[in-house]
Amino acid sequence: MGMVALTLCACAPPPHDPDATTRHVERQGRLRAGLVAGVAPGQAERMRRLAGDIAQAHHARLDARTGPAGALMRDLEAGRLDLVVGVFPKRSPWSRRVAFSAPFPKADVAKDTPVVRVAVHPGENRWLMGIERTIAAQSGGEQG
Amino acid sequence: MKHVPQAIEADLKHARALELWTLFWQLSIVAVMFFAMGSSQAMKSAWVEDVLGMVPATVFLVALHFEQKAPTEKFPFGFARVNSLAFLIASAALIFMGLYLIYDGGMKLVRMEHPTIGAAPLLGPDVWMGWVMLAALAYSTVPPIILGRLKQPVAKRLQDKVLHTDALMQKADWMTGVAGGVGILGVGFGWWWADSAAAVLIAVDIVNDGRRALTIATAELIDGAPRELGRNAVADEARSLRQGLQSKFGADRVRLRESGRFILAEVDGGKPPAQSDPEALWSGDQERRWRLADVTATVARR
Repeated sequence: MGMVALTLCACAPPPHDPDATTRHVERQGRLRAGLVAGVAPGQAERMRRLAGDIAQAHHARLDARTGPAGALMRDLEAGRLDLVVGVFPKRSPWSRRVAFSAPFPKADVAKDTPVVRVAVHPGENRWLMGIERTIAAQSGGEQG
Repeated sequence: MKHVPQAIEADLKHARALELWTLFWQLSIVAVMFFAMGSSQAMKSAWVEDVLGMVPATVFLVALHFEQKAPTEKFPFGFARVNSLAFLIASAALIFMGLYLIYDGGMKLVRMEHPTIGAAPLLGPDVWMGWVMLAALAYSTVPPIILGRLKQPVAKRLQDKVLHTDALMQKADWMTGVAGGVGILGVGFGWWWADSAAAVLIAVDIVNDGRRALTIATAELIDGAPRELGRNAVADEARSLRQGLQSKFGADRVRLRESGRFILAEVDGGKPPAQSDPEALWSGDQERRWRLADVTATVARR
């Protein structure tokens, strides 16, 4: 039984998503993103561009909506969004309930410093790694 | 009471070297596991077990230091029991830590928390941190298996309960590595529960280690009869020694108790034989006659 499961899962190398977010986004060709409102205009532009780059990396079109962080995070937890992009410190009250990506653009920042990050459902490890890849690839053009 | 009998000096030296090596390797494992731990519950449990794995080696070295000290006015019976006291404290710590980890992992299962294991921070976004964790777990199993095997025969010759329990705990460490590895691989295949389930399994092993150590330390501290090494059964050589003393003294009652690696005998009634040196009264394997450290006789009135 265990061997059968392992064989079935062996089609793609680990990690996989328990809730299959990556597969859903790629199969449906649609990325449901939440963009946190009330940030500086430069940051808002950066967030939208990042969400677009993530969608493109998964051959999906971006279906984005803007709103307050609390409402978007609740939608993320309920599975109505695939990710939320916002300006968050790593040590955030949300960090117990969602998983955060590295800062965008990549930088060494203190855990309390709010920077643009992507929040995903915890445990969606393949999905998070895909986002980290996009952040690493796009950070070069975003420095400063 | 003797301090260190000549017959076991070489073995004690060997055991001390093995325990120093254990601390060295265990420290390296603790450091590697700490940096690879991430947010995995199984890695957290395995790391705690690795930290606690240093306790028996430390207890052994501290106890050895005290065992070699001469009795003092305040401690006229010497310090052979220091290891039992230290072991009792250490075993209680093992049990409490294991129970905490069972609770912690169990609550994560109940709350259905999905562990996030992303990319390895130092190796770039293409390397999954789970692979780093698996490598660290594999490393953590090798030194304990080798050291555990090397310690077992020495522990038997020295009749050292701390060393023996340490050897058994180290031999069982491969289970921790495998359980942790299965947990991480499970997370990799999308089974969110695998991490916490592995953590609970490892924690049960920690509690079991603690329970075993507690039983052994308690038996000695309440003056129980000498036990077989690593078991709760009364040792065969203790039975034969009791019968031997009974017949040599013509005694009404012989009571044996353990003090560290040594056996102390109290003989009530009868008459001491001509040869009353403890080693001459030993009735088992002559290589182990150093174990009988003291015989106290209460001679019957005629």
